[in-house]
Amino acid sequence: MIKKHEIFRKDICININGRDYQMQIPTNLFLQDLLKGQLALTGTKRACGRGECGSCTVLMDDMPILSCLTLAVEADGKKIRTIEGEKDGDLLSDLQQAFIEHGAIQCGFCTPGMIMVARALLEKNPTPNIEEIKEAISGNICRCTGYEAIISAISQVSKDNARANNPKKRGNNE
Amino acid sequence: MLWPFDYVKPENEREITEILAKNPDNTKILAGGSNILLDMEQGLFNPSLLIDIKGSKAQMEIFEDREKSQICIGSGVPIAQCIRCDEHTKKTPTWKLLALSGKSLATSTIRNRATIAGNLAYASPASDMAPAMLVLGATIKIAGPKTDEYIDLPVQDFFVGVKKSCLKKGQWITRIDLPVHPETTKVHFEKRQRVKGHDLAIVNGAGLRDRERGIFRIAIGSCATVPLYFQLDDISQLTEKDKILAHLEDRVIKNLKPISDIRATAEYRFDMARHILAKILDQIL
Repeated sequence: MIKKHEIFRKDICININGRDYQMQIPTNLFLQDLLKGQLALTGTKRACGRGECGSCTVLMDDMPILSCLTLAVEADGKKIRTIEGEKDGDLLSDLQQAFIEHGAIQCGFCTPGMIMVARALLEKNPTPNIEEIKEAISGNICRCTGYEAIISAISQVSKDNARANNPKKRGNNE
Repeated sequence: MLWPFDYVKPENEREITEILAKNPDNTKILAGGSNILLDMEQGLFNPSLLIDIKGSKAQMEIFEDREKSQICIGSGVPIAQCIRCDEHTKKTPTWKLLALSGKSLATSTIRNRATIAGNLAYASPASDMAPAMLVLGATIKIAGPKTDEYIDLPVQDFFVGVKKSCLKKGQWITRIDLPVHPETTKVHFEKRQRVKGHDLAIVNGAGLRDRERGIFRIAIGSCATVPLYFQLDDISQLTEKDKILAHLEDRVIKNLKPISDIRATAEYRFDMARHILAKILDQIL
């Protein structure tokens, strides 16, 4: 019988926001805890820890997943993107800029998850309509904004993409 | 924090079966993890070994076997991959019903990991994939405990109780096979839940009807200890909705045994079952 203090460890190679990591980690570690605890990438939030709120959403191989219900060992060999990887140096991304301009952030707790889900949507479909945006964020709960500003922000990027036919634009955070 | 466990990620089916056979007690299969990891996190069970099947190519494949006229879905394939919407799938009732029921499960983010096999193996009475699998006539391919031992089990025989399937120690689901139904077949899925978005079913159900082949099937979930299946081929030729509903009242509704729980009362479940049956008939008549 396994005792609580026993630790099983595995070696993993993982790419996070473009940087490769090789590490030995406990098998019973959630990806969320690896990101926040061991790598100090605290942008990804923990709220429910039960896969119901979406605040822990990160991208694994370009797909949104819940880091609170994914083991860190399952990310071996995968490419992970968190909210920290959204901006380029000091430049905020188009989504981040739109969220600010549309007042889509109040407490900010849902924001990283919302942006990661929106990023995945826009990469798959650069010009989603309102229904597609709502479907994409349907797994992300916001207690503050009532969602309209969030939908407007993502829709703004969609419209900008439609106008420019340019999948990723940069904003200036000054 | 999870209780410690060993973790392996075999590279093929045979290895998975061998490891499971050597460790039949307190071992769990890890596919999408959306049920099992949550239960582990809540301390409902503490396996000493997790076998991650996503390293096995066969478990990550989804393909149409045109020779056997079936769609084969590996037990590690995320539901998001099964929900297709193109010109081919729109015309194919099997793909259509897969999409209708798959889209009702949890949220799009969870569907990027959750699997049909995992949803069935969890054997929740409210399983969102079970009604579709039942009416489509799915076959569950089970391996183990011996290495070359396989069973093709009709899904109707899979569920035996609340969160209980017929899987024995050392057995695991390798694949789900779905017959490709002809375009004359009409299908539909309905789910009633408290909130739009991520919620378990108060009642869910699927219907399949093909007058040309004389087939009529209904499945209802969340109204008994297992998802219920009803074969009603003898009334497949009826066309009046009221007459069919009268038959369904006698042969389906009377056999439901819903409970009252936090999501709904038993009485409400009976009413919702009648409601979704009417909605299903609107689409398949």
